[in-house]
Amino acid sequence: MWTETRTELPPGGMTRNVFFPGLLMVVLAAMSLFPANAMGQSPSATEYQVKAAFLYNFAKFVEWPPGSFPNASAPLQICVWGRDPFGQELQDVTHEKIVNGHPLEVNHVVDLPQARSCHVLFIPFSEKAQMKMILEGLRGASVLTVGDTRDFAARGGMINFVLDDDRVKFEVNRRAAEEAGLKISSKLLGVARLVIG
Amino acid sequence: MLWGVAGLPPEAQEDQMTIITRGGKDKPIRLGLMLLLLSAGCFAQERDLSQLSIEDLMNVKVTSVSKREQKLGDSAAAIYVISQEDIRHSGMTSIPELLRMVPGLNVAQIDGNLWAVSSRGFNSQFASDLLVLIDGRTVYTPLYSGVYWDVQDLMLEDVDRIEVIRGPGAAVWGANAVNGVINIITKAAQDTQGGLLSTTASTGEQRSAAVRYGGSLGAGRYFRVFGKFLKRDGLAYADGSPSADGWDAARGGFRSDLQISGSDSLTAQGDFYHGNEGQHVTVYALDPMVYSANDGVQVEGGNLLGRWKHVASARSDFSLQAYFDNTQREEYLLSARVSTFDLEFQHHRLLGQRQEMQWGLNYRRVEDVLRGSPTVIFARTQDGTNLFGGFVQDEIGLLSHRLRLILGSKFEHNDCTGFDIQPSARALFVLTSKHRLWAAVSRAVSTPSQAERDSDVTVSSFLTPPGIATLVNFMGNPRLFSEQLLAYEGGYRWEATSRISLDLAGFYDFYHDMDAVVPGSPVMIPVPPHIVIPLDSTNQSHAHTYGGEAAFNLDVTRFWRVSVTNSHLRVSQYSPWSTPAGLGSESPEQQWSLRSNLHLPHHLEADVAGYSVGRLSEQQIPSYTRLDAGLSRSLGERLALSVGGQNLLQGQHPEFRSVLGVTPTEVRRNVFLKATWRF
Repeated sequence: MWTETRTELPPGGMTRNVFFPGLLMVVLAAMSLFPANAMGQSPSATEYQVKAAFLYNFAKFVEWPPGSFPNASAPLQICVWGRDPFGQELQDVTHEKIVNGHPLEVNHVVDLPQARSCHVLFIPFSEKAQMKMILEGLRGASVLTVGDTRDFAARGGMINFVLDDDRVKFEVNRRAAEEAGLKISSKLLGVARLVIG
Repeated sequence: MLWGVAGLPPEAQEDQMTIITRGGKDKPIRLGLMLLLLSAGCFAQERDLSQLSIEDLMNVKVTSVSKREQKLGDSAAAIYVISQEDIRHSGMTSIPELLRMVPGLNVAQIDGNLWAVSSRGFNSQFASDLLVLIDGRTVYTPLYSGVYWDVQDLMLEDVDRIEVIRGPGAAVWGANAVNGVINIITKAAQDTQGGLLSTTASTGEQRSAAVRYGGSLGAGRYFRVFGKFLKRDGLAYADGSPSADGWDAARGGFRSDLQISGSDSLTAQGDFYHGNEGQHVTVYALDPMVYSANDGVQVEGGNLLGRWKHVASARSDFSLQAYFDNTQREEYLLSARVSTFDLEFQHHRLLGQRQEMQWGLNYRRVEDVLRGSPTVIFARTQDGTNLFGGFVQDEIGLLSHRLRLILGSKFEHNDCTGFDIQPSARALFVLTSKHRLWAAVSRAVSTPSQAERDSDVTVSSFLTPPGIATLVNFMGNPRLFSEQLLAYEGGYRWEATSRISLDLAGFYDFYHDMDAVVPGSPVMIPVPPHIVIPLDSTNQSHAHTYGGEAAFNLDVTRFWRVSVTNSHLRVSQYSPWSTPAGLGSESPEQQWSLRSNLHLPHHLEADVAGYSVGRLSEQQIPSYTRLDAGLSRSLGERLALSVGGQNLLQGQHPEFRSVLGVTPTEVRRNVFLKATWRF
């Protein structure tokens, strides 16, 4: 371990790498010269823009039991519990959209009676402390519960977002949805990363 | 010309940009600057995601993964989260360096492979009041209850987030979570599928290559393996000459996550490392009395962890975790082999509509074998200790969940200081959806480390007239009891809009019975004839500290985020004696940081960060300002390149001094290139 004994620090200045500035310029040039689309660039967006678009898609691929809407053109309520991570995104995505004759409407809810009137309820990660209370309280109501907390689907949530390699994927708890009388289309089940039940 | 480009439709911008860049290829640096200067307002594409099919949506890459604000808002503690985005933007290449962005923490580099990190005061090479966990595994060494940061490394791309709690976390985590808890959490294996190769080269500091591959063993069964190699040159001595503190390290590991049923999941993970490090040490002894030399340090270690989580019902779940950890460190002054076995059970359940209860039990066995030197002598060279603990915590929602009370305590028994109770009471009050207040009172203890109990360390030597050799020896004390902290904390969070947030925290901490160093009466030793002046270790020091931290985030536009933090600290020591770690324990009174992240067109991102750290008057370290800047660009889905500079303002500067004879070296200006390839 003990390599050499000496009492003075070595003299001399720092070693400089003259090769480096040249390499730096080459890389900078390469970064600017490559056209961005040359290598099959995938589109990009913020996490909650994508999740908002998914919520709209879920509304399209889920069938609610008869009686879930007061009439054929009643709005389809997409609700967010507690702190809204979407900002303007959810409003933008659902703006003037109609699904099976039902115009989409975004609402914010903080208690169970309000939540029971929703068709889709998003429970964000920040509300995970109340997650189980909410899921328990919605038992028997035909509300599609969507979350983005790791154990959400395992704990009885219906659809859970997961990030995989910077992409948004989702898991489905089919049993939970069926117990609530919701029918999730096979198209949605087919692309889910994991289907429980 | 650039503004002209901004007015064109997106497709034309792409073409035009290509033309500009081709025209300027003989002046690449100027071109980079031009790209930097493009304003965020001319960002190219705005697409309507609702027009995409489900399959296409699943292929959209998300650029801003920020769970920070959501998580922050609801904790009744001073918490700061470093996200994977923050890690990527920072350009930092090690865990201690990443912690520089956290308000309330002080991070200082002593030499090329030695860091001092502490929360809310008392920083030193042997800082011991911070608990650090990697995926639930405690990584401090029982030798001095601190962390060898050089061997805490990971594939940084696979880190999900680093949660830092300032202030006591002892009510859940137990002794030594006195003034902060750092939780490093890696991504689950399902979130790291596919291959990733990351290489870095830089002017002074390092060359590294890391590769990871993640795969699936069927639905719900995922794994990843990784390997990482790094070689760092030494930093520089104060006179600018190259130092002997270069190092190299190799590391490999795996993680596997299995969903074995709808309600059961298993995690198994482990990693193994080996490294060679250099340092220059000065040794005080009898003959010769002072000498200094380059020392080669060998480090080696590994760990294996398994965790089972079971969701019994929507209202109840539990986890059982066990790990084994072995570390070995051979250096001239002290060599040690430490083996740890740890078992932990936690249960979490809802009681009625208002209460959420957690409780847990844990057992830890630590065994170590030590080999000292003429300078560092341990009374016992073999030791085995047992730690038993349990905690209970209840979160009660009142006033329709607007007020949350969190009451809890840890109960612990260890072989050397016996039984300790560490309670805490916290409250979070949700004023409106935008304003939150919290307050907490906690008690935490720090059990004496092996060095404080058992060691005899020569810290200085000189000749007393008429020429008698005299040694000053720090003497450990096996009768030391735990240091205690009583902490009062409070905070306020304001989320003005989803783009503006402010987090303020303040604290008043009382430390009792701190381990202090008291000079004893000189003793004459006949053979060989010399005098020993003992520095005795006793629980005689008291201190109080107060201060606060602020963190402000502003998304100026959707493509430009700015974060500012500030930390304040005042320390008053009641007794004249300093703590043993405290031969040199000091934290700056003021720290600032400013970070800016700008998304530019053409998948370019520009990051700038400034850190200002106040002076350390006892150590005579002047204040310094550190400036880092980086530019990165993704070339398609698979390849990303970045270039950046660190410590751009000064050629080199000192940050901290060592207690135990390690020659401090200075941090240098550094320019790096990094390439990341996904396959």
